Amino acid sequence: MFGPVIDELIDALRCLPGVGPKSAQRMALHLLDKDPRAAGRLSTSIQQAVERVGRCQLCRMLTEASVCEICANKGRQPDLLCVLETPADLFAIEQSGSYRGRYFVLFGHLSPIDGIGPEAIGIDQLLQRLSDENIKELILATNLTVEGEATAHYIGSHAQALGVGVSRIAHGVPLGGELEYVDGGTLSHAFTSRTLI
Amino acid sequence: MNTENEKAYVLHTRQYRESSQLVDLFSRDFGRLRTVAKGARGKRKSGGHQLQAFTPLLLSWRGKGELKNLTAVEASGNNAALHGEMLYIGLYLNELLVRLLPEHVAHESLFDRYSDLIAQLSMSSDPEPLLRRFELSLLEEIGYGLDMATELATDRPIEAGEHYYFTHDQGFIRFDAVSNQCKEGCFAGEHLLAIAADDYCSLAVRRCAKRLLRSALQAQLGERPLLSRQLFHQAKVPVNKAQDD
Ligand SMILES: [Zn+2]
Repeated sequence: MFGPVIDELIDALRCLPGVGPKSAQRMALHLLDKDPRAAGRLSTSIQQAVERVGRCQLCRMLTEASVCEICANKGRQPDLLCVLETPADLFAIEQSGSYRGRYFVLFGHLSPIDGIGPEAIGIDQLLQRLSDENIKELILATNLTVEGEATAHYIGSHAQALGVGVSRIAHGVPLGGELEYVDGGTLSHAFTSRTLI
Repeated sequence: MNTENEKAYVLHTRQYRESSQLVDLFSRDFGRLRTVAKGARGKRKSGGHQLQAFTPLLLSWRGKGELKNLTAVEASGNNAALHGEMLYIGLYLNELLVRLLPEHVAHESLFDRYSDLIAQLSMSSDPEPLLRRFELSLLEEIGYGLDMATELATDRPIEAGEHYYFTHDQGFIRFDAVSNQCKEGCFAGEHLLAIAADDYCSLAVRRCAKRLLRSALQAQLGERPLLSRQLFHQAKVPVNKAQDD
């Protein structure tokens, strides 16, 4: 509609989450018309990031170094490792400020129907780390979905076979939640994982 | 077409666009079908968090095309959660159903068996016979049931003390010492009869049933292996655990 180059830009912008044809068009016109300097900066930084960013050797997190900042930080507890499904989970935990150990990011979960087995999400690499390092506690913080639970169980049983202590994050009634409105599955979890006070 | 409060189980979900999910269902009256749950991720209000496998649900959907829109999700009855190894079994069952059931064909009795099986698994300490019975009925439902009482080609009854080959097209064929060279891979007649009688007391019968069903299912699944079976095997645990360092 606008010529092949503009159309290609609009189409390319649609790869972003939540961006449909309308907003892609608005973004393209904004970059080209209102803010060509910002467009140049965006294009350079995307190119740089794609060229330089890889995965951390230790935790698989996205990083431009061979070892990410968290893994390289001597102030983090070295014998505490937390297993997560996504980088977004890592950001969420970091923002909560409640954890001072290190991480391992799976970038997914076990999903046999999608053809995703243990090796595809780095579990062999994780077990190797458990075997090489002196890790006292492995915290399984995968999602509380069927696949997340299966992944946690799989990793947990193999970590225990290696003599590593394993814990699963607690789950139950949300903060500010009223019992009446909590669904049955969540309530039953809250009861089975209740704690003495 | 609108469907209201249909008994169904989620077989598999996959992220779709930013906030939606593609949901593969096994419903009682419409069989296996694919739906989309819009805005289901992260929002508890829409009931999307209840779209989990192994939970009995009542679902409503609408739409004319191939891909229906889920409009309501309600938990139905007891929430029999699967844990540990039982989760692997559940994933195995769902992978079987996704791979073997045709879309939009109702399998009411198989659905009821599946529903019973999930409830039993959450309480069972011996899932093997339950699993074998389900595999047998699944093959039956898709038109590849096993006849363990008769030799298909000759119409002779299967007998204890004899051995039989299993072939995918002709069923069981009696082992004949003269024309066949090797007994290996054969099934003992008495084991087949025990399976037919639903008697899994003996370990030998269990082994026989497992090997037989694996072979019969593989014939329908084709080349691609079932990935969920990998979960049952011990992963390659790294050797030389570092000494206290
Ligand atoms: Zn790292």
